[in-house]
Amino acid sequence: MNQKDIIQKCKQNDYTAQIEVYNTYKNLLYNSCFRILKSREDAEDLVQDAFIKGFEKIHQVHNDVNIAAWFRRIAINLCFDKIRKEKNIFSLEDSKEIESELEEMGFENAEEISIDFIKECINKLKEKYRVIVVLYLIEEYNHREISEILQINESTVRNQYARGKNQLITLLQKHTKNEFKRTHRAT
Amino acid sequence: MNLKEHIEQHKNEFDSEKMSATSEVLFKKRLQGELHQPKKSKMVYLRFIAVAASIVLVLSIFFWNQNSNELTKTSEVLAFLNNESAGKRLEGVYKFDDEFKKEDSKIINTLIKILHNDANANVKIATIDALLKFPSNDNVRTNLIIALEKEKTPLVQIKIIKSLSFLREHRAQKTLEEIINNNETFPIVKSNAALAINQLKQ
Repeated sequence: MNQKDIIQKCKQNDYTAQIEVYNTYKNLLYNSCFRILKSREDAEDLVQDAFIKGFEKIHQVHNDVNIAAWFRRIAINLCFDKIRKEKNIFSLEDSKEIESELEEMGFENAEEISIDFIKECINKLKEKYRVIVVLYLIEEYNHREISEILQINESTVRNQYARGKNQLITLLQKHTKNEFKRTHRAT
Repeated sequence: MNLKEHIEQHKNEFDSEKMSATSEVLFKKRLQGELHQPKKSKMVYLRFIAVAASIVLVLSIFFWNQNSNELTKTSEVLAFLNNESAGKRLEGVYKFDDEFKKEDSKIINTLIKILHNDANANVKIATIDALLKFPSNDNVRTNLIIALEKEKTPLVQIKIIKSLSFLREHRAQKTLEEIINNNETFPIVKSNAALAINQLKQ
């Protein structure tokens, strides 16, 4: 069954097609939710919520839509609904703040850093920077899309991303320097 | 290579987490519960049909039972009316008079036969009273006129004359005149017939 057929079947509330969609994309959504929420239980719950919500609204999409991206967007929106309700990390003040554009730090030779360490450093960032870094660097949303998801100004998103990224680079550089010292001490 | 490019190249390593094994079972249960249950409106509709069907069933049983009782009662009365004993026939007439509020064609036809043919005057008189319960029944009215033409027993004649006067049956006038003009008619019958003609003329 191709994607168009599956979407058509889901529009007809076909149980088998819905399970097929779930099994195909559940881990994709789970990784996105887990990166944002940092809780396995919450991420699993929200993945289920996202699929249920998606199947309820699937009649609104065209049969040729990128279904994975569509479900992922629902899941991410649900994650931020939850964050807004429980943590309130994106306050109205964030949205109102007028700031000069921050300059992003450069970081070359990133390929020398392991992905696991990058993940670890991202998780050490302050919550409001971490989620924007995740959305921009990993989920590949642009600043305008992030501002829509978080319901804050695009310029605020740009600044917070720059701050987050700079913090991340600082953490990565610290690691690089330590590695350099350790190597030299050994020699 | 900058950081963004490095992450893009290793995108798959960021998607290495797997959902727990139990999650699929839970999701299937939830999906069935939320999107594959009969709709509420459908349930209400089905419940309404079930209630309506129950009511129809109860009413059918009630009417069937009532109808069955009526049939039993009719058979019982007919058995009495067709009995050889005048006393039993009289009992049948009174039973009909007491227990039947609606017309029953089988019984009415049997009563009309009694009106024309029964040898016992008392049975005939009781029958006329029973038939008068249905004054708008044309079969009853017509047969009372026919019975008056043939009837020879004075008591029964007087009963029929009074009944036709009560029913204001104008078609009986000719028969009443024939009774008055008949030399064999008892004087008391003649005077009742004359009185009836006067009442019908008023």
